[in-house]
Amino acid sequence: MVRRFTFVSALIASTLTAVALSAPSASAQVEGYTPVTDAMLQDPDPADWLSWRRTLDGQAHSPLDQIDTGNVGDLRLVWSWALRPGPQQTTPLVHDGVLYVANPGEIVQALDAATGDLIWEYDRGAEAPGNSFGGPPPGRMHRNISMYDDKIYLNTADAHVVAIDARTGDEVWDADIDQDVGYQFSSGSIVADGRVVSGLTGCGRYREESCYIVGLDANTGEELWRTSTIALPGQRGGDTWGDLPPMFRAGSDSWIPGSYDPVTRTLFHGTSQAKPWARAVRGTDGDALYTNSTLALDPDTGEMKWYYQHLPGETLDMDEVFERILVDYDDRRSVFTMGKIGVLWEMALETGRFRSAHDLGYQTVADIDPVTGRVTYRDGTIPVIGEEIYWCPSTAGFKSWRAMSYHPGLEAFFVPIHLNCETAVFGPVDRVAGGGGTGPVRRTNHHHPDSGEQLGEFLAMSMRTGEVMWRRRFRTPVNSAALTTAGGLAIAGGWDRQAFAFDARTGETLWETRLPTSIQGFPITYAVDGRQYLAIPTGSGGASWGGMLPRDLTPEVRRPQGGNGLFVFALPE
Amino acid sequence: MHARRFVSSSLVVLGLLAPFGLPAAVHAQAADEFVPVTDAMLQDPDPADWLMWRRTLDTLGYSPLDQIDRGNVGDIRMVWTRALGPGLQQGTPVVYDGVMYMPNPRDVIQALDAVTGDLIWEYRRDRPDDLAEYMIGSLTDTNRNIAIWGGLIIDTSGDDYIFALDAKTGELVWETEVLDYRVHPANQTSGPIVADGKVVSGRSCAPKGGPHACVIVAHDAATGDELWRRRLIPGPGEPGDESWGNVPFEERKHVGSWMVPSYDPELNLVYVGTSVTSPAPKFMIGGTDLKHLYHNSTLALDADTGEIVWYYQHLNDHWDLDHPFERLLLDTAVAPDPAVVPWINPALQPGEVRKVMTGIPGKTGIVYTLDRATGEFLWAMPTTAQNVVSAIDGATGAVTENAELVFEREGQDMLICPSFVTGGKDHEAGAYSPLTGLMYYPLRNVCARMMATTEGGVTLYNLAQRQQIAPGTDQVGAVYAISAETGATAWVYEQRAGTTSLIATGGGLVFGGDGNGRFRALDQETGESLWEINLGTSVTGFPITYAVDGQQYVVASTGSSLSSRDNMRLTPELRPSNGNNIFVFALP
Repeated sequence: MVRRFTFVSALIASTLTAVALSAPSASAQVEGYTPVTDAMLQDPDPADWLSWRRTLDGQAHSPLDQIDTGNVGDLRLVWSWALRPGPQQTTPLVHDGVLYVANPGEIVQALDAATGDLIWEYDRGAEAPGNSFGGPPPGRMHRNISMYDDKIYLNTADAHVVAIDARTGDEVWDADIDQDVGYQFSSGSIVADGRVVSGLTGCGRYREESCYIVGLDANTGEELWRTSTIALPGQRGGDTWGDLPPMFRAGSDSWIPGSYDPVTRTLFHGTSQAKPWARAVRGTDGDALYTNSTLALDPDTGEMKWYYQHLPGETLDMDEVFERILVDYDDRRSVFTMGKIGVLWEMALETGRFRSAHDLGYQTVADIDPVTGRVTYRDGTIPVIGEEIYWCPSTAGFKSWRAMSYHPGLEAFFVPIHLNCETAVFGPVDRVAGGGGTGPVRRTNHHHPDSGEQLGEFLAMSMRTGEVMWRRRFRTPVNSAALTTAGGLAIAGGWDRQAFAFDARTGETLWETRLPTSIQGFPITYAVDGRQYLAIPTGSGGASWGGMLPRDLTPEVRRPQGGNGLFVFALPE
Repeated sequence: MHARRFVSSSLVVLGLLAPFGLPAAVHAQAADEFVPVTDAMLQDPDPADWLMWRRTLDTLGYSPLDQIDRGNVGDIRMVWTRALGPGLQQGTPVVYDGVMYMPNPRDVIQALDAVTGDLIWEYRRDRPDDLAEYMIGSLTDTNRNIAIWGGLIIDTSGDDYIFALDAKTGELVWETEVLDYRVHPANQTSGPIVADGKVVSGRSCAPKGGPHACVIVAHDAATGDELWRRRLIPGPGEPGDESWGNVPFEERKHVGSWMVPSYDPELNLVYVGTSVTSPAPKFMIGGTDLKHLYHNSTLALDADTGEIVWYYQHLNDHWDLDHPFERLLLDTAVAPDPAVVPWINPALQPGEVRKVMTGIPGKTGIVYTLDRATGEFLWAMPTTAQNVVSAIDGATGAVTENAELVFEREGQDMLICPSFVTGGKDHEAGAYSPLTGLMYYPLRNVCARMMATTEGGVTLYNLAQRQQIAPGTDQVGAVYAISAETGATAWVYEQRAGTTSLIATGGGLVFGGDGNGRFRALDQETGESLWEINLGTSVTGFPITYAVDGQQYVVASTGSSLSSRDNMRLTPELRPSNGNNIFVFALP
């Protein structure tokens, strides 16, 4: 591109006529696209990242090993991309060298995964709905998109599922799940044998309808089934809400994507707590099925094969909604999950039978029988309206949407943790249509007494024993999901802009850099033409409880507003 | 104008910073660590520091730092990045003793640890919400540079003040109203320089502000007291009054100086460049034969008084082709090569060493070399496509515009090279390397169909334009390497995306970015790209380099500017993202 000068053209005469240059098209498309099959989703190419947690078992572990414990210190930024402003917790997907990423505001982009150049952009251009508590914050957040065949699936804040042509970015179909009820999506879907399966949020309001998980035909968008996450009167478990009529059986949002086992053809979805949060406020001491449960669903019919309720009649906003990780070991197949209270639950994959519960030891809410899983709430942790109580964790949770990963070689989970406690006074709600929600809470955050005033923890936990193999603590929260790789690395990032690569065996920091604002979202890794990349999302938009802790508890650390982006690292060529 | 002083109570309103309205602690450096910045330091800065817009008062944009060089630049990597506030972003960091002071858009200034990017303090000016009623609203975002002097960070504001912050704490120390923005509005998009304790600043005066808004002003750096102001439009009884013919004084508008001055401490002269008038076509304001001083000129001002020691008018401008850009002050042999330089002063003794003011001061892309003590014309030479200057008299320096392109009436529609908004050259700065004797300029091959009109278009200028890539090329962006001594062009780097500001370093490198988010290092001698990264968003800020504890850092920042937006419209296949971030690179 360097031109050596032999002479200098002095003047261009005014008589020069314009040379008509045809500008290249601004709407490029993905060339040589290979449709994504169920077989690919169920055994993805290590170079790709095709689902929320790479694999449908939710492990977020990559077999890529070019970047390893020996060379990770040489990682360098190779490209970055600013994401639109707004609440930001995204997960990029990568297929055949193209990276697909949802921006806040119902915008999806296809980028060249090696260079960061934009290929196409889809902008839905819809009006943002208002916030219904428990739904995404104003501005429309997307934790993930999914892909199948030649389509990208975007779940919207007004509870539509939109299919976008992965080649061109053109909208293919728009399925209105909500039908003007007022539900929302903050997370996307997974694709289970050709079914696009999503869980709703915004289920806290008192309304005739009750919350559900929905399965669509991936090709057409036709709704195949919807399965209520609330047990209604007359149904199995319908008596667990006392005598509350259906309108006042709120909550049980399934606001985090599920997992899928193609062998047994079973979906595993978590559900959130009942709403309003406190028993005294919602008006029942019952177990409130199927809140705070793991649900095993048939992908064709949505039929519930089994459920396991982790925290029956939960009363402090202690979600158990987060990712379900499927692990096969010895002759066992298990489903693992960890909720806000920091207990790692293990259930038999086929039956939902309780196998184990390992408590990180930070929570003050409940005692759990290690043999039966039976929960006994501790004295003073069932709120009474108007009376202050103290417990750990706060509504931010120790664990949250910041998903853990599972390293099969090390048989360990890698868990982003927030250390914190809360005092709160719960207030009443009017039991009328359109009311409800979480219920009013006057709350104060506190450092956890065992934390040394550190808010952030990242730890490795033995899958078999629940033993904490190592833990690292940080002044501010660990604010991203975890990622592990066959290179022996555990990746996560902090609220105070740090991106880390830890030695997965020891927890030693092997690489660290600082990004524009909090590491926020779901880091991934992929490869193009034999070069491994690490993509780390950042964001400051989108109030989440954990993201707000530093305001109160580490006020000396502030993060820049703005800075939503994607930062992609690789080893030098 | 009275300087308002504040004692010590913090006007850094912490509640505004914390998004939820709770107090946030600010940890500042220990007071005893801070060594005040002297004029001697500004006039011969430590290579580790970057104390002003172009590092030195001669505006060369050159750093002697050489740890990062042509051999190892391929190994540099991003060490930290940080989000900047929203708005048009073209900031230049100041770095002093390991602390980076970064002007964010909308009159936000942050002090950051230059090694980690951690926030030390933040100043967020409480701005009136009606600025856009009086001036160009989006340009009130722009905060290109700040100054440091003593223990103060000094800046001009969107609301037409100049103010000083305590560099240790970010607390406001003094502020002085320059103009009442409701009466004499001016866009203060660039900040000041400090010339021997005097803070010298210019501005782009809104037409409704009349001639009184079009001023260069000097303030006492210690107190904020105004020392002098130089109006850039002459009035009745003043020299140059006749150059406006019968145009009433109050109708003489918009000759501003919206970029940053240069300063020669030895000659005690401040060099400023000026813009076009409003409207631009001169048939609309008194006639095409009038000079309309001091538009599109270089003015050498006595730093003590603001008196005009000399001026040189680069262009009688009908097309909004401003000349406010950086003036490079060099002592160099002057030997323009007649084979490539069309306009040479016949009295010049080839090879004689002169104190010159050189570089590309205006949008036309023409290099002008003047004697900076006297204003004597030495030589001039076009670079990128231009068709507005047809001749320059070497003996007098008098410029002859292309008569065919001088608008005579409304509705005339002609191909003008370059366009306004993007240039040729625009605010994106060039640099000079003493290693090569070459000046490096980020230029654009852009022209426009331009029409004089009072209906539609840019009403500020009574011009409408449709930009296009210059005839004969499809490359918008260029970097020219031009000998300051001979005018010979050593190399030209060209590419699709428009290029942005450059610096040169002692490592033999030119660092610069482009509208498509690329930031790269070019070899000063050959123009070869030795390293490049995609930052995702147009590289709109001014790059710098600095060192802390022996480690050299290079800084780029991304965002948007009016010129980057216009350039990108010419390359629609390049679609960068839009994020305001600062990126810092270093060797491992």
